[in-house]
Amino acid sequence: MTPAMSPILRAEGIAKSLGGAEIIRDLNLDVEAGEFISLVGPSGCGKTTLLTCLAGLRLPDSGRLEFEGRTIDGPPAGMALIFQDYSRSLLPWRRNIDNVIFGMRRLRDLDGRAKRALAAEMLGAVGLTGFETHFPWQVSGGMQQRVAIARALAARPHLLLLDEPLAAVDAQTRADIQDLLLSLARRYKQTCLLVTHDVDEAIYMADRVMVLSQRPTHVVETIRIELPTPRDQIVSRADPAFLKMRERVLTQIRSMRAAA
Amino acid sequence: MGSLGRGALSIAGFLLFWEGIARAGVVPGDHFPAPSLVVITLIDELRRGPLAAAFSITFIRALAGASAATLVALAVALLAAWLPLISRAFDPIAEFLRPLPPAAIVPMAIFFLGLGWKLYAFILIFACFWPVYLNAAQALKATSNVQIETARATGYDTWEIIAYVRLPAALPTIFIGIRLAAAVALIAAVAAEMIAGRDGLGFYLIDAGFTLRVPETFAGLLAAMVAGLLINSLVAALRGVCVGWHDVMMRSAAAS
Repeated sequence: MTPAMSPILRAEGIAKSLGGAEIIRDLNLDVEAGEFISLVGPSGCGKTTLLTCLAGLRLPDSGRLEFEGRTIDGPPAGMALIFQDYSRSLLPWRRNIDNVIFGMRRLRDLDGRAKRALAAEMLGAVGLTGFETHFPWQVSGGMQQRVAIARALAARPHLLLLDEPLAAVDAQTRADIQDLLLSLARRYKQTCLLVTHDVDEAIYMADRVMVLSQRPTHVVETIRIELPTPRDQIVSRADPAFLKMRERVLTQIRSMRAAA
Repeated sequence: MGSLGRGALSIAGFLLFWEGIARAGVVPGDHFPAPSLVVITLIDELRRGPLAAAFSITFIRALAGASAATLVALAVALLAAWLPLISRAFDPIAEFLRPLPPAAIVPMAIFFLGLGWKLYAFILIFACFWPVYLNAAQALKATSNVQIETARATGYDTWEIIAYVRLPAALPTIFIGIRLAAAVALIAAVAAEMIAGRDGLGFYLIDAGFTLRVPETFAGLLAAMVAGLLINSLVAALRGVCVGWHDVMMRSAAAS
């Protein structure tokens, strides 16, 4: 690989134990700028621990972890994180627009007015124009998740980490937000790393799917998803290539479960 | 009829009942004045000065004491939230001192502090500190982990997270403590004044009571009640400004 193509995020042989339990062992991964990566694995394999390490919220016990060429020793500038538990990640005493502004901590060059304008634009981008002055608890779960997405994107991150952001919404909302995320990722050329336990979602969203093993987890296989873009909920999911990759990933996860 | 009308009606009924008992002579009238007489005495005493002075001294003491105690308690609770070591060192002492009734320490405090403002500052801050500190420390500890991690990942440092996340999240619970402190403040102020015996509503009540000036005693009671109501409504107003969002959220959760 040429230096010009150096990955935005790189993990080399990282390991992490929590409370005596070995959760990550010898994990390697690369994320290129502009990519949409899905990390998928059997439930309880340590996906969330891995994500908190990548986000700099926890430090790995060993191995190298670099973001934009610098070792991660705390939450790096240029990353944003969306949690699964979106309704509790929003601040209930702040209106939606002020929650989005909360995400702009690192945008020091913007004054209050510019931040407000950008926040309104981001709320518009996620389809929430007209809900700026509502409180999060005054809108539906799907809309709360959109606020969390707007807050993360408002930080103008170079890498967006998503921790099972759609696990708690209903199927219809889920499909809508998947497509919203894909269109936003295209529009802002946003590099994304999505952690999910849903194999269909992993394939539908990604340019590359990385399959994680049981604990202690590592990347077992990386699959390039050769589906035409933009993806379509009906066409893409019925594509023979989609079904073949789905079978491949599911078989792998099932064999790991059986081995455990 | 609105709830305000119902409330007025029930109070009017109570006063009428009281007036009736007093006039019927069920209880010796000398020791149990009719409300009409109490109100007349109250107005008269306020106009002549002694009760007005006693009222304002006690009211200011309670208000200043509760406010100072709230600030001190919040400062300690924030430090404890920042450094858990402080909380581990301080909490056993808190458990040890908290059960002391504030009035019980007045005689001891007079030795050191005399009968002036220092005495009241000490007694009131001691009395009002605990409810605010205990509620604040507990609520600051209970902040949702997701909110804290989101803030950390967004680039906020420890103190910013305390200021922008943990404190606002804790405010509804902190106000439970402040409301308790406001009630305790008046109790402690009046009790200390009764013991120290120089001024304020506590002294006015003791003085009027021990010299068998019965209507004045009742007028003093009424003034103390008004002081309590006034402090309560000040706290309620402040609460509305600070955590109004919380009440609306609770109401909408209850309605759905």
